[in-house]
Amino acid sequence: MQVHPERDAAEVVRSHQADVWRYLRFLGATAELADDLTQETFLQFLRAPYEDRGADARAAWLRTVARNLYLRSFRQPPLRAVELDEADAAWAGFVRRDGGRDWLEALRECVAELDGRAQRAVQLHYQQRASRQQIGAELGIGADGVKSLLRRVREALRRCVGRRLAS
Amino acid sequence: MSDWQDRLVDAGLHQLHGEQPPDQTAVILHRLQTELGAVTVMPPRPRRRAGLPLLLLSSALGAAAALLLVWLLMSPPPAAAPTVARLELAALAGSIECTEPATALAPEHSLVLRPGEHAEWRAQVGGALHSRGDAGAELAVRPFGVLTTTPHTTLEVRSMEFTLRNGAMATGALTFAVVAGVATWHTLSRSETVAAGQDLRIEASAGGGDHAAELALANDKLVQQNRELQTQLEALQTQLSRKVAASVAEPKVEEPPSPPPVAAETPTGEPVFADPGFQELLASIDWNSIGSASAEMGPKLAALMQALAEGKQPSMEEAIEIQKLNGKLLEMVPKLLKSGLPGFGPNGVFSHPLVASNSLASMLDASGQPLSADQKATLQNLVRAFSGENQTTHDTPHEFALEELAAEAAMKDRFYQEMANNLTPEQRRLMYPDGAGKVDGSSLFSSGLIWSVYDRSVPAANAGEFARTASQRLEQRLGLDERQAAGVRAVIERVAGRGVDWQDKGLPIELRGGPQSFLRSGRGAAALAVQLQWMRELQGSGLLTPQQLEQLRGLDNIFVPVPR
Repeated sequence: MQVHPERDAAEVVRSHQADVWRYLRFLGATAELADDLTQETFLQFLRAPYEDRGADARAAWLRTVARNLYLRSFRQPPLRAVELDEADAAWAGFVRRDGGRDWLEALRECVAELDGRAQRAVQLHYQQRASRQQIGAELGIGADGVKSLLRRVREALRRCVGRRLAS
Repeated sequence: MSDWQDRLVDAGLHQLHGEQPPDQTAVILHRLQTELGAVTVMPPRPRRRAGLPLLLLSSALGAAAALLLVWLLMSPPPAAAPTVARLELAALAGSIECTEPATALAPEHSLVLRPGEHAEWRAQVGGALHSRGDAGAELAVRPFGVLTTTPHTTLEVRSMEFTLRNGAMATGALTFAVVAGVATWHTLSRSETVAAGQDLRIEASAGGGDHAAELALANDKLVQQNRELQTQLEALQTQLSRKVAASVAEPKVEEPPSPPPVAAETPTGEPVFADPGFQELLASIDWNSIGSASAEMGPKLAALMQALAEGKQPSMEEAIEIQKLNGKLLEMVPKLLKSGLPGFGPNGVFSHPLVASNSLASMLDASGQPLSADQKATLQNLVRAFSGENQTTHDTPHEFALEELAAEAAMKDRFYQEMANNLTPEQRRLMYPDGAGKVDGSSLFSSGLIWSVYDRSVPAANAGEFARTASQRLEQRLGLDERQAAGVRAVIERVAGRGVDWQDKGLPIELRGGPQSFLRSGRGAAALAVQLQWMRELQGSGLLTPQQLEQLRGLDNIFVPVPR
């Protein structure tokens, strides 16, 4: 059984809180809900008897608790078991080996390679938080067109990331 | 590309473009240090106590058996000892077995509570409650409320959260896993029913917030003071009777005794208004107790809510008194719920015409302004008519669950109005003390009692802001994707823009937001009218999946726009 003195507790929270929060956002939690559930996840971890088997096992334990808390925050479960399995498989592919750092680095490089119009759409949507109407007005397409464009861009980025990680 | 792969890239792009999780280290460590889980740990039960009789027969306490105290021991925490909260439970009906898991120093321990008994239970993760026999059980766990279970229900403590302040509980929550059966937790303002496989979270009395600890401590003091005063009173009465006995020893011209007060037509404690279908239920309720509690509570409740509405700090003693009186009213709720009396939620049942009329009659009786025979006859007709309407409302299928709430609340307000029209001015003042009914929940004879359970204040400057908050909440409840959320938001914004008076600014107590706000009477009904409009529009919009539509139809929260 692992006891968590204050210094260790702070270290555990600092090391894993971003992962837990991002995982919750990935599942669909709003930022506010992700904040709350991240707190609850660590409180459960720090209060419960836990046999520490290293950072990976700890991260997996935290994700499981976070996922359960997320599901319990709804009256009706928002995701079916099969969807959760798919989500976890996708997330496992992301965090493999180094917690997702190389995946994000690959994504950064792929974004830099996008053509001007796609890159501008990404910038407007993700950096400037512009609405689809605003993006459409700048790019000369309708709101539905923006949605399709962003989806195509993400698809292209996924393929690009996959290629880079494979090489 | 699967949806999850798409979301992954989406999340990655958000992260690359600056979305950063907040650093919550300090908050988490602070919570860890200040909440029970970290600081309040009781040593395991010493062996010598295991054989001590824990049951306290409550015959002398009668209804007060439900007045239970929760307290936490503050022993220095051994490193890995389990967190334990010592609770006092009372079985109101049926038998219930309370199990405490084994600890390092003591084996598993269990005790059985039978109706009318109460006992201490050391709640900790792994502890369990099992209803025994074939009739289910009702268990009071104050200040958490009352747990009602079906036969052979097992609840296991999964987690406990308590916040301490000045060494006493300030807020608390217990989460049970329902292992078997069905359990309902209810207080006067909330109710939740869960079945096997789900979790049931019970929380310390709503609105208690950080004042709960002070309330509990002050309550203890008042109970003690009350006992001392009663002892003094008994001693004085004994002295007085001795003096009177001495004085009457002298010969004296006997005067005829003053005539006794006119006996009430209805025997003490019996219901005034009857219904053959609910005869047993009505006979099982102590209407004298309800009457005296309502008579005392009405003015206090109105004054408390008035003070809150004016931004004043309410009196602690009054708040404690109201809690105690509310506890007396609460005692009848499990019986009402079990009886099948129709109503929208526990407060809907509590305000059923049959219950409200008998409460009113007993309250007037307790206040020395009983109903006359004519008034009783008139009100009996009203009760019959409105009970019928209530049943019809309940039996009529509604497209949205909230439509039933709207119909029932409107009907009850008409009923209260009709009853009040048949009272004398003095009686009306007792029914509606000064300030009663201005804020939802401030009167026992107003639909605000029902609204306050389902209303959720959404402070907003305009329709757009309101739509953003409301759609975010719906997004979580219904599991909307981005496209759906945007569509829902647009519909809400359009309807709220034309249906809400954005100049009608909210009071400070209305602007707290969420379930802890108090709303001016009428806001809930107006908001629901608007909400039903946008819910109908959403239903016809094609935006939602059949599953989401089903959830929308069952929605029981009202998003009340409070302009600021």
